[in-house]
Amino acid sequence: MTSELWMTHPGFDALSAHVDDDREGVAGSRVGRHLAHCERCSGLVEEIRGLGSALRATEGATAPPGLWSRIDASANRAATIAAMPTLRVRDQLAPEPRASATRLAPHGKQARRIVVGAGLVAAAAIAALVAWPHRASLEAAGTSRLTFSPARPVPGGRLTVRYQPAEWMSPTATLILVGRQATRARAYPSVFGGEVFAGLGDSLAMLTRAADGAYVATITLPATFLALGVTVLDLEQDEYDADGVRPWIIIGGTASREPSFSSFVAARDIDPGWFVAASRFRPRQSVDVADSLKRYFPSHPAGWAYASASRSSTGGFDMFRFFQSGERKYASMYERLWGATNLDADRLHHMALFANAIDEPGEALRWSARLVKEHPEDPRALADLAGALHDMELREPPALRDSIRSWLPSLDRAYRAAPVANRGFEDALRLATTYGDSSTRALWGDRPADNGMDRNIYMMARRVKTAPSRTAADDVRMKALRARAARRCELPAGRRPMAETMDGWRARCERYRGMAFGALSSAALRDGDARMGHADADSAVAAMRRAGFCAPSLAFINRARARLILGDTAGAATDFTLAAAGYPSGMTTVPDTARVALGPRFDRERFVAGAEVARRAADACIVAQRVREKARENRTGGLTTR
Amino acid sequence: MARPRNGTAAAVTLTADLVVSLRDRLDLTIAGDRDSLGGLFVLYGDMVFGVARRYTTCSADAEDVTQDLFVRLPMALRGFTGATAAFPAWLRRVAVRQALVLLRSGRRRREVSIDGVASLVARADHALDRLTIQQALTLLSEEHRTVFLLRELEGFDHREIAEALGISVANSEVRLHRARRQLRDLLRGST
Repeated sequence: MTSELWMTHPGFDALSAHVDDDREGVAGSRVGRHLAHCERCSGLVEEIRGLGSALRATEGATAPPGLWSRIDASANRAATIAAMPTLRVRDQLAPEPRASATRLAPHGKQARRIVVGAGLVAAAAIAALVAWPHRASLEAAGTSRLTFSPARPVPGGRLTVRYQPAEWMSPTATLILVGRQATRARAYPSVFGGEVFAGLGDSLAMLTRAADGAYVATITLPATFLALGVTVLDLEQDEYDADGVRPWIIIGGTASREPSFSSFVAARDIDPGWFVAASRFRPRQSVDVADSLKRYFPSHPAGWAYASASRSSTGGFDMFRFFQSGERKYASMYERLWGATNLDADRLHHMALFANAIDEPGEALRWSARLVKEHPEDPRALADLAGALHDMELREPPALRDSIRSWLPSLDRAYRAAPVANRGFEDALRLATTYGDSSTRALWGDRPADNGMDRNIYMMARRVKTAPSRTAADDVRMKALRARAARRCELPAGRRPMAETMDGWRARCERYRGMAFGALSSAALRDGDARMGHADADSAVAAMRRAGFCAPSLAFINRARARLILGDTAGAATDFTLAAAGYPSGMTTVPDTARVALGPRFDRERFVAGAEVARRAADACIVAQRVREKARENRTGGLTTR
Repeated sequence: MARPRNGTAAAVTLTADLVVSLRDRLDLTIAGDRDSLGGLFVLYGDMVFGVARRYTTCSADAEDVTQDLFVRLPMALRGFTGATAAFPAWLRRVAVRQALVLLRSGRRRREVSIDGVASLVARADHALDRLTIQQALTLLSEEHRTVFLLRELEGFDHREIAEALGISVANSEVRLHRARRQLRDLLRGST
């Protein structure tokens, strides 16, 4: 439910715009001030920046063999034509005289075509708007290799899954059906952020080959069934099949086969990202939860609450909202619901989300407070209230401190009543320690470390590594990282990777262990504990190598720094050369680091020679990996997305 | 440095590559010297193809763009009046422009490009990319992807993007935010 939490902070668009403003030197904005004390949003800003840098770090494709021959032949023909007196090869390539950018504005016939096209598009848009609330077939119908019946399985009923094997799956007698099941007792939490164990599925059943070559399994669903995500794994666990990059999703119904509100929401929780990706590959499975909820449960605010979160993927929501006005809908729902007694937690929570969606933080606080008051045990209560208060902070109203202080008992109540691990703990902890008195700060400071903490290894590692000094929150994170680093990458009984091979899962798991060890070593070095820093850096190197990293540079740099402190200058120099293998030969980042760290003991010639040897070894390692990957691509046709 | 590869440069005479300066090579290309054009392909073919591949997400389209560009390069070079050192950047912009022209022309190849889409085992040395950024990009709509690439890869500001695509500055901003949001969702959802 991460996307819900963002709503109480500056919107994604505002953060994205801030990244651009920041790049262009605009500082001191309101968002900038917010980022100064909000780890979550600054983390998101880093993620946004990371998208660009990750893209720039990737290699471009190389021209295929034989292309020059085509160009040569074509250039020959073009030269012949150009030489003919009645024909001219138009110069379509030379850029405009302006230096800044290209200009491709349409003109002439092309412009007329675009006008006609625009008219058709407008007509189509109007038609789509008219048809919008009546879109048919909202549940997944299973048009892929995996089909299931009934289309809307009921709790306690039976579900038959039929799988037509992909070419790359081993033609064995049986395959494993792996799944993540959401039930009323176990609605799956989001599995974002590299918690590879939380992302595992259960071995649900063995798929047995039928006479027609398809594989079939029938499973009995629990009485509390809501939704299910499934993939197929072969017995050796070295091939899998899935709905592209996501599990196939099966959304349950009520006992009387009617659409189930809880099932739609649970399906969204199984894999929220699925709805974005699936819409590209599998139109018939691209269930839009917001759309479905609006259709089947028009008087419930949930559809409206989620619609704003999914508008980026639907594109049409803004126009829809223009005609139907979310604000007016909110007002009518408010009229109907606010005076009602015994409102369930779902309605209160979704009204808070709806209020946020239409940018009414005061209203969001109103519904969140009521949720805490009437359903403090709801796991969303703390997050909703803390988020709403955080939004209030952003508005900087008069007497902010007193106002927020008056809400701290409610936060405490929500924390005590909620089951672990509840969401919103970090926000609540920050609010309590910022605005509370000494006893409140002490109370929250002692709260269990793993209660609601962010389990995202990547974010935790990054925060611990970059923290200028150790704080109470860092201690909590380090404890979590230590536990994660100590956990071996072995599958728990009955659990299997989803949409992933066993080797792929193990490599990913080791990578996160390596990140955890790396962050711990950074923290130890920062705290002056060179021995611990060395041990953790050593473990990071080992884990990253098991993860398939050919040049784990950061781990080597940490180990070099630790060795230097421990007096092992030669070892440090070697580690610096190994670290350089991860960077292009022209980059001076590592040599500069080594020069500063080693001082007069830095031998440039020796460093360059050592780095070259290490780089060659890393290159050979990368080439070998690519050969293996290519072999797999050839085997599967590179086509795991159908 | 010229880097002959099997197949691609088979017809290119590279003997003089090491001694011919880039300025000379450009002049010879304008004059119709095919070997010099081949030398430019060896030097910059990968770059042009890589740029085109990113924008079109389809190898066949990228080949078309690369071919069109190099076939017309002798003529187009007459419009290049900058310093020799600026040639790679100029060529890159031309490649971007040519890719955008193809995207807008509607004459794209029909085949669906699947390479790079979802090889889930493809791994890269970055924490976020089990679904790599390149794979995630292919999942975006063309209009979102193009704006993201122009911004993040070419460093265009929104005014330049708007000009290049014939859209408003506000539209460019919205497309960029949406592209980033979708990429974030995709990459988060994949870890």
